[in-house]
Amino acid sequence: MKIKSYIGALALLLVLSLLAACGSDTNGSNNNGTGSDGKSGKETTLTFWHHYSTASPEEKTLTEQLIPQFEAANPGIKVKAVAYPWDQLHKKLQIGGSSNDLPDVARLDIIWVPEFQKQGLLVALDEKFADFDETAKGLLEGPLSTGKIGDHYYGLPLNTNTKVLFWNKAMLEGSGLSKAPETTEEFFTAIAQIKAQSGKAWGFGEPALQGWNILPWIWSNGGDVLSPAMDTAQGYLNSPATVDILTKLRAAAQAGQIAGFKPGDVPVTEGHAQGSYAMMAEGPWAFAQFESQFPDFKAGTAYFPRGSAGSIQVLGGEDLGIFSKENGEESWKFVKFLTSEAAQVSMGKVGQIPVNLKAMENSEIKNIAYFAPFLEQLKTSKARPPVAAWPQIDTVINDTMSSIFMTDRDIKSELDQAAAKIDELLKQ
Amino acid sequence: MNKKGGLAGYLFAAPGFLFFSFFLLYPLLRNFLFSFYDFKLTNLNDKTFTGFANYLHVFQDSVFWLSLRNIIIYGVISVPGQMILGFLVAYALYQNRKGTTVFRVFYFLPVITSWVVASLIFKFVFTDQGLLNYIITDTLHLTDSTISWLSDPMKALLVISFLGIWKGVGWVMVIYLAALQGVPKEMYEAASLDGCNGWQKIRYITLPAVRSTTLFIQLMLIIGAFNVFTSVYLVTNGGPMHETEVMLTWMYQKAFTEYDLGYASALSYVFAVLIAGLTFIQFRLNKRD
Amino acid sequence: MRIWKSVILYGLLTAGAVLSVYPLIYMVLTAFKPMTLLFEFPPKLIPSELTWANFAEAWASQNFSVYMLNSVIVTMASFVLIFGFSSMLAFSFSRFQFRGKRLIFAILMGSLVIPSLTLIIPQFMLIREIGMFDSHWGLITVYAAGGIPFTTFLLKGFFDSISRDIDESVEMDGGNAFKLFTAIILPLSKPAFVPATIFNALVVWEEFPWALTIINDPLKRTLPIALANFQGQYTTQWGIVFAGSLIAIVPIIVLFILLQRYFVAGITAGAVKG
Repeated sequence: MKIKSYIGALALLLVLSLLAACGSDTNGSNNNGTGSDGKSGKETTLTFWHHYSTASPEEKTLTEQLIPQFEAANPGIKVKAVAYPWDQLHKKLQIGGSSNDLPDVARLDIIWVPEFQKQGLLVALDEKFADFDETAKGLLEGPLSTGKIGDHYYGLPLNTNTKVLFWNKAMLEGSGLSKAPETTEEFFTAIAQIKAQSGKAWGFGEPALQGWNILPWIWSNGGDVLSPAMDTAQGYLNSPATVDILTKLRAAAQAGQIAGFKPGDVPVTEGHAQGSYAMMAEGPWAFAQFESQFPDFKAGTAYFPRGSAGSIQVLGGEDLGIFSKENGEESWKFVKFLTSEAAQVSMGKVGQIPVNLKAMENSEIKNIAYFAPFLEQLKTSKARPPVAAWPQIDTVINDTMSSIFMTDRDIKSELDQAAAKIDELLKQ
Repeated sequence: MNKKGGLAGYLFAAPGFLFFSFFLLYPLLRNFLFSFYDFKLTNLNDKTFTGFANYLHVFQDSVFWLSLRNIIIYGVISVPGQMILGFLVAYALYQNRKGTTVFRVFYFLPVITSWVVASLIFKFVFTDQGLLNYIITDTLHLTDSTISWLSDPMKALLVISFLGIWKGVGWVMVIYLAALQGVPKEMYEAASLDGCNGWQKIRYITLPAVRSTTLFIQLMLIIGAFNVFTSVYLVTNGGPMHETEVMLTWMYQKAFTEYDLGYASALSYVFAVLIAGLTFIQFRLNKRD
Repeated sequence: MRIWKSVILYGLLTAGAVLSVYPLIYMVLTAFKPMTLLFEFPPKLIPSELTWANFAEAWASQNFSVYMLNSVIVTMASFVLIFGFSSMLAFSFSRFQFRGKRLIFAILMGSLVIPSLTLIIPQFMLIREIGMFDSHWGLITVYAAGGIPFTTFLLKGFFDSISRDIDESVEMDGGNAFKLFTAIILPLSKPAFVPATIFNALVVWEEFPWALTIINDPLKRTLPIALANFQGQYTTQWGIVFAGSLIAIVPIIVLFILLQRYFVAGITAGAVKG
């Protein structure tokens, strides 16, 4: 390739690409759903932002089954699904909120709802749509409550989840244990026994130190992050119950019985299947991963170890929120469709635990054996505090837990500092 | 034409500079204004003037000092590492010997690889049960205990510096290759006649001849070190406990996780002043000798 | 003695080359591994089983070919702006004396120390105000502005190395500055555009945060955004991530291999004068 022909080719491509770039701009504005199309009564395009990862079965179900079904049943409404990674979706909505570049509907992690509600971005569903109560009645109560802030509902649940205790049978039996530990005391005895038996393995794997990971331990032991009124962390995050369980967990981590949260540690789910971690607490997606990567591994599940306050795991899942000012009715139709029995069954088959009561009774869902332990655990699961500052509070928790688990600092004073920081965040 | 021609000079410079000013300089100055405000990502339309509060905050922030320390460690390891290796490779490859083209392409491939992919791969290789530990313990039997490369802050910084070196050697090589072409061959021949050995030739002929290139590379690499982001973000994300945080990861967290744009702006200006100062000192030192 | 020296030299060079290329090979091998072998322990240098499935999955999912085209469009259009503006700037700096010249040059070079990440929010506000949000123009203009300083620097070095005797001969023939620029300087400087192409392509091709911030329409996305979407909240299919990344860097590798012969020649003058 001569330089001359390279420059020539480059010039040609430049002209072409400029033309194409202009072209795609005009296309884009035609596709823009919030444009004038809706009002003229012809066709409305709804924009739906979500965080199902590309090439996952969930994403395929959404784009290849559900959206075509919805469009066929609702002529005149088209849905444009846009995927973002989970954390980037949060940022996009955050930036979009301040400049009004928002989708019509979005799939929101339940912990984001209070934040976006506080910024005034979400439509109050029960106020705006007459048949809200009727729709809400058909949905599971716990997940439904994650959309309620004050007196109104700003989100409708789409799917729910929680974590249960996974235990590797071969490893526990190798240490003389025939079943998974039921209480916190049994748990700490078991991980010590496992460590003594096989030095290179760990009793328990915890992949991170965020609220999602640490709160179940604190709650089950009778501690908490915030007061019931959710206005202070003082006396809750630094309560004796919290200090007590963190002291035990740190001792276990320092004895090499718990690992997984440090950068470079063996990844927890893979390590559990391969015999590095005898136990872990994970969500239903772990089963999908076992199936595709470790088809020979048979996972055992049990309740999360019971402490003085019970076996309290953390509630996860997603809500649907409506941001649209122009296409409210169409958006509501789409939201109702996604929470309908049929759609929930389709998503259930690829691992999303339904929130629609009829879908939960559906035989196809009941046949999914691995849902059972999660449905049991869900009965006692608890949501993280629905406060607008939660994402920042979670950062404080993560920093505090890192210094507790990776240094010898005094647990009580670390928690005192964290409580002070959180109280300041709550005041804003 | 080159002496007078003020008007022509302006005419040629204006379009590019105006474009640059509009899309880069203007946002840059706006960012400077932000640094004096309490300004949150959650509400871009509302900001309160707070004077130097953000700057004060920066200097009282222990993570700022950590990130400064880490940048210095990263720079001290990766800048000389890239320069020495890059120079040696270029010196070995600058004559058109057999196979040099293939080698040049090989050494340049890391430069082309995206930072994201390179970081993910390094993370895989250096995790506790990664390939490197496997080779150290199970193949070579150098030690029995697993080395935790990524959870010990100093080792993690070392890994990130390695990554920087791996990614940058090819770039340094290319610049030196170009410069070495410009060293007159006769000088080497004369030196051979005087009985100089290989090392002496490098020391007394090559290095002085490419001195301005060396300065240029050094400057660009120092700027590059202050700009390190993707590798830290993906390999350790600043952890454990912010011990491996660098300027940009910390700024990114402040801006996009804690939404504190005013603080993030102030932080970026503090670092800009630091880099500018460092560059100035470097120029001064070089003028002296 | 001579032979031994060569053997040692080539041995060292080969070892270095292997270290340089190994992570890429690792990536290629991972991309070819079936899901079940992704986390083999002990890790194997060569997987026991190879598959094309990840590539097929990556290419078929989303509109990968659209994203590839978008990336090409954005990169090419940025090049037009960067090369147009930078060559004129460099010509001005290299051939004319005027008030403020040193200041303008210093501002351009000074901007090199500002990480583009710090400018996202003010640039986002600007792009919205001028109506370029959610369009390729918003990417092209900002990428071009970011590419101008270093490109100007590279080109100025090359222009400086072209003898000024030529300027005088053009002047004697009655040509003006424009003639000198288009008929003499630009044609003589073709090689200098090769390294400028590569260095700018490296930045523009893999830029992520800015593209994510201003592009909403999935049909206007560039490759890095598409690649990021392969990573899930809880689990990630690494084979597909690497297969997609591999497809994405092929154009850059091809570009480099095609141009590498001119690469060093194009940089010569620029760097030595540095």
